[in-house]
Amino acid sequence: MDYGIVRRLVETLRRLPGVSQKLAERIAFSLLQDPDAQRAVAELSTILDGASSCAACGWFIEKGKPCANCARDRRVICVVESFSDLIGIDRTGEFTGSFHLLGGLIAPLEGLLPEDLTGDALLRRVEAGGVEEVILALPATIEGEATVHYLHELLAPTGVTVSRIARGMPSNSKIEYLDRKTIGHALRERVKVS
Amino acid sequence: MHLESLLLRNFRKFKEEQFSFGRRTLISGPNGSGKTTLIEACAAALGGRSFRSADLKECIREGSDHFFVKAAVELGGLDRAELTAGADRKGQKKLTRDGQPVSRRALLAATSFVLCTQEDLEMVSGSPRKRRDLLDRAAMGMDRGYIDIASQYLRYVKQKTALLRSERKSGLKHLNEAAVPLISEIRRRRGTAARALSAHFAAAAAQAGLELSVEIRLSAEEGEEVRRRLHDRMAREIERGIPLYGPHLDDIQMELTGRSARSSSSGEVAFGAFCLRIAETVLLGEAGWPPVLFADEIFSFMDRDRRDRAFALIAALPFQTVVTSHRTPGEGNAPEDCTVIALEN
Repeated sequence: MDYGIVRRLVETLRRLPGVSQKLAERIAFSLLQDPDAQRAVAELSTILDGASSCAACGWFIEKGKPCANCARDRRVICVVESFSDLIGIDRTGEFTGSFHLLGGLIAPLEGLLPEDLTGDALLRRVEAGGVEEVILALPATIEGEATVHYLHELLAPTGVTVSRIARGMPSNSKIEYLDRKTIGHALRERVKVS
Repeated sequence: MHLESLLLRNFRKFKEEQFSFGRRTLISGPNGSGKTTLIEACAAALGGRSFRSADLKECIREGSDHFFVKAAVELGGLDRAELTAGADRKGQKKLTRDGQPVSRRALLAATSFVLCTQEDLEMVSGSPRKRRDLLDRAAMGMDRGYIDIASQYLRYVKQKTALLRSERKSGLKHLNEAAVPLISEIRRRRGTAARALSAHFAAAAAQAGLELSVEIRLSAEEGEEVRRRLHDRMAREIERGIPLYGPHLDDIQMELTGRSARSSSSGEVAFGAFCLRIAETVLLGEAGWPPVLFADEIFSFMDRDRRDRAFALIAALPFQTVVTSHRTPGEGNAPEDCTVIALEN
């Protein structure tokens, strides 16, 4: 059977991250039949039209409005790879400084090199003054390590303290169940009992 | 680890067959009866790869569109598992552990086995690739954490190759810097593995009553020296478009009893390669991962005397062993407590 417009709709929905064939079909039929779902799509379009990203930190803002992230404590900046990492750290409630979205890591396989990241914008934020520490919350992978080296070299002339998040024991875990690599990092990055 | 049984479906010459394995198993049968194929199927289920073909789909029986192998294993203590491997003609590969999809990396981290085949002669006399594989397997056996280090390094090589082939080269020095600790660690661990293998090799040779030793020489460059080498090669790497330095290219030299493989007889090389696999087996056992030793037709290049000594070494191993031979049992090559799988053409 020729599914025509239904097929086009399903294929378009499949382009969204995390949407499987089954889910795309369910959403497609809902969009074709349910006025509420149709209104939601129209609202989405309006929201996206009014959205922009902050040139300074990479966070998403409403066009013409000040950036909520830049308004946070600027003395400490936490650099993250992506939006989801930012949410993860923010939800802990442990960090009250401002974030910097890097937009990826150095990963030539994905076509990402230093100039594709927002490192220059980070440098401008630090050079503007008032920043005491930059925390690099980047993964312990080859791409993460390369990016740490790039940012460290980029920020070194400013004299700002550059640190990275520790790797070690997860909360509520027993040492006997951890892999050797994690135990090794936890030992090397131990902290003094105060 | 202990392999209890293996089910093969549409795997090369086998349509559907199940085999049980004992503490010692002898697979016998004439040429072409499927002895090597059975070992290959074991390796596919336990390690997710064939040692005869680059692609698992080449193992599919003629006239079928997919193959399936299922191994029942005891992984150590009370930990039992059902491991499967399958592939179809489109190249879709699937590995599972107890019904759940599993990556090859996770499979290798859970199983423990050593393959001893005729191709092992290349380990002594061929290109360094086989010797790098030997040291990597031994290093992985000594510490499973080595899998993570090696896979991170492999990722580095892929990222670097992509960068060298692209028009922009801006992240090269940062990628190199990130690889320095990995390269140093791989070399350190390969060095430790080489020393352990040499010691176990000497013990195996002594047990066999032969004066045979092995010397494995490899790069020991670490830290600052690695950084300098990477830096020195950057311009040439950009010009050539490929990485030119690192453990994946390291030359590893091997000498048997102070002589290069070229000046050793084929019998000496065959026995040397066999002793290296015995050393690897003992090393894995000492590290707490008692392996299954699969030995496939390794005696062809050995004279009668060496063959008897090799059999005695295998028989003395405190691990599960699976040995193939084109000779039928009864000709003095099957130990008494041995499970015999007799294959026919």
